[in-house]
Amino acid sequence: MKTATVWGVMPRMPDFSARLEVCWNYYPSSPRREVVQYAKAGLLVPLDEYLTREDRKDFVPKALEYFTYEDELWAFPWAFGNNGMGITNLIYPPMFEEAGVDWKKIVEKGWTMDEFVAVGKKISHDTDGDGENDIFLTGFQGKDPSHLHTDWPWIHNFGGRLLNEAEDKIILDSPETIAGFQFLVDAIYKHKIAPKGAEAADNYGVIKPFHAHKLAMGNGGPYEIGRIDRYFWIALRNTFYYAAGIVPLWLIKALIISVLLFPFSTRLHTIFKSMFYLPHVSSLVIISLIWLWIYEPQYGLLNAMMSSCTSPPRSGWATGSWPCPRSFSCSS
Amino acid sequence: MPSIIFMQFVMGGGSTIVLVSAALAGIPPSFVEVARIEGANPVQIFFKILLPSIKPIILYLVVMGTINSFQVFTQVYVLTRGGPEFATTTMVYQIYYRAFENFDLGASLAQSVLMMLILVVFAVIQFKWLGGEVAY
Repeated sequence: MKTATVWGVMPRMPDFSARLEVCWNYYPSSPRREVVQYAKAGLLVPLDEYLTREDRKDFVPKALEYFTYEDELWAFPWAFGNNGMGITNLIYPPMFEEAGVDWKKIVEKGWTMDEFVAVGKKISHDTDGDGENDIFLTGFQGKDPSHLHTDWPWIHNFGGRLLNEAEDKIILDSPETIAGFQFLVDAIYKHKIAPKGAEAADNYGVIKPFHAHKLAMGNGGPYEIGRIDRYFWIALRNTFYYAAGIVPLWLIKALIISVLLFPFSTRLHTIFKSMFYLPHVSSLVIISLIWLWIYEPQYGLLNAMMSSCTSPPRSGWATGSWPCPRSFSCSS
Repeated sequence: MPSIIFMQFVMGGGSTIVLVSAALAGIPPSFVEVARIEGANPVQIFFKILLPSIKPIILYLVVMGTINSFQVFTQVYVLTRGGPEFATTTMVYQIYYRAFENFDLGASLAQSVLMMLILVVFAVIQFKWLGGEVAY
């Protein structure tokens, strides 16, 4: 595992008191407080059994400590954001080490804005010799306003706020906010520690270059790591499962139908063979789309058929696990 | 994954049927006639006469079916996108994802080669298992 998930490496102003309180002042309350509240109310299941040792390696210990309450883990940094894309900060340690930057110290102690810029200048460099940097510390994105939460912590550090104290007026044009935005612009054009084109980039415009190791930091969640490294064996197992399921099923189906047809005339053979062959004519994409409708939870054909049986409607036909065969028993 | 298998079971397999029934039609009628005269019942005819006679076709279908089902991608991409929680992520989808979503071309290349090796091993095993003593 080469990538570490770090919750809280975004630079903070020194006067920020809580060590991990990076940007959640921007949110109504800190995630930990909510998590602990839910845990106390018995609404959460402790996660210790569900995270393997390998899973734990994805996190800096501090990130997990933060959500540990009464010696049990109740949550982990995943996708703290307003649209599913996380603002958990992912860093790629080798790029920091290459530039001689002690990333562990940054994770432990935090860094100031000036240190952030200094580290950025160490890491950002030019690889193809055209005088423009190609490798950057991080990226910003401004295409989609709903994704602003990934840029917002920086602006928040300058005292920029979305709403005034009374929360009845948007104060995006306050001098503090403008200073925060200016910092982002300077990071791109003056310090050259983030790639140009932020105004046209969305979250994927940051996370994809991060995966390609063009950026040393990106916003996302541990789910981004999962997709990088670990799921090969699961994919292999799924493929075996699929092959072991479909090859015998097809053969058995073909043998049964062919043997049933065997005694009949050639004309009947042809009719049935073309009937069974017909789906091959249409594109697999179209077939899949039609089956997406068949499996549709609310209006789908399969649930409509099942609702005439004893079985209650299910939502996960296309994606979830299927009921075991005995629950298929129809009574009406 | 059961959903994808079920969909493929219902919709696919057409060419398998065509090939198997063509192979059955290709068996000389005298084979079955002789068996019948000798007093074999339909089950015996199926297992002792028909099945061994179409063994080469079955070998072909098993090998091709395995290769085809290792390449399953479209259904996964359209139906589930490999979700939920990687339950339907297949190898080709994983290779695609790494190559064109994460731009990790090296790893996906390695996976592709590994997949080819796995398929070669499978084909060899299947040939050893079904390839011998082909009748008529």
